[in-house]
Amino acid sequence: MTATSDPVIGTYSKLADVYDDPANAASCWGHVTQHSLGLITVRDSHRTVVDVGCGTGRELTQLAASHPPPVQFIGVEPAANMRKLAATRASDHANVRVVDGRFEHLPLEAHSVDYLYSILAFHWTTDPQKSVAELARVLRPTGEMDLTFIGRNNGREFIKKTTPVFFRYMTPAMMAKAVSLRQQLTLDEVTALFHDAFDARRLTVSESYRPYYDTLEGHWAWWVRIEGQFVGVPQDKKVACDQAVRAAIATLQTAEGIPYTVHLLHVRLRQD
Amino acid sequence: MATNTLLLDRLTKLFSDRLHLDVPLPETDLIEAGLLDSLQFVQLVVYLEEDFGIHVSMDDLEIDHFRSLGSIAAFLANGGAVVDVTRQ
Repeated sequence: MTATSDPVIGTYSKLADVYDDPANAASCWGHVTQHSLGLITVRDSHRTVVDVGCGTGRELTQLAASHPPPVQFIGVEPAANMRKLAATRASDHANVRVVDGRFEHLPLEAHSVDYLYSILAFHWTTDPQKSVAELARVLRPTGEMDLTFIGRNNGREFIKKTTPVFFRYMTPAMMAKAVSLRQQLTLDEVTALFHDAFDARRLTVSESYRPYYDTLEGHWAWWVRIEGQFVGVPQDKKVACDQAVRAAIATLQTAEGIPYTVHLLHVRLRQD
Repeated sequence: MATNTLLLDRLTKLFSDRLHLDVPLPETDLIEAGLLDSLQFVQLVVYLEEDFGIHVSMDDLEIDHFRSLGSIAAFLANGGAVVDVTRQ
């Protein structure tokens, strides 16, 4: 699948103009991004730092601003409109460049990267094995890495409520296609995947479950970006399907708000 | 009848061992009860193919055939696909 025909990349490209809206920053994904940013460690010894799936370049330029040259930052982003915004943002930073690419095809030389990080992107890879091989290829033998991405059990409350609804509006074939858009990996699967390519003594794979409470509108604004079903719902059924899905989610209401539990996986590679 | 019972037993074991789901009754609606999500549904089709030696075409598949253990057993027994019931 090429970048231009990938429905996920196409969807993200369309979202580019609203991606930095306050609603996104305030959503559970904004909170998870901030949490992930706290896990990233750029060292003085790092010379080439790469952000895979850099989006609009917000975190990339934030880190670049606090780590001036000789540290060089490279943002890799497959969605054209996201990449354009990231490049504009990076134009104020002499040590940042933004390139087209994705986990499966990193446009980087072998053993050229000191530190690679990625926030909430690896679950969109279309080929986990190939992607991990690419990561191993571009990292120096002394390279370090932090990847955070969502796992198999993400948003269970929503999935449990909405699966019966989606099956009313989509055929099993459509559902199967939608499911295949996002990797839904367990901790064990991720551990096995990365242990095949990296020194297990330097690698830590962990997971966390955190509930985020929001209003229906707050969740609705950004939940849709994580569920492939929305790409596959036939246009003539979309309004009715959206209404039914919203009604199903509304039944989860509690005094604190509507819960959405993020299953976050963290792959950490360190020298020490 | 004996074939259906055998199929139900095998399906119950498949759900328990491979999907880690305990289905209370053969007629429990797996989807409406929230037991089976979209990914598990896809996994179920794969497991049925592996364990029962059948081929299921997603394009021809009706969700009602997969709503309960009973409907899956009927689908398998009534020519939804060629099934080798002696396989364990």
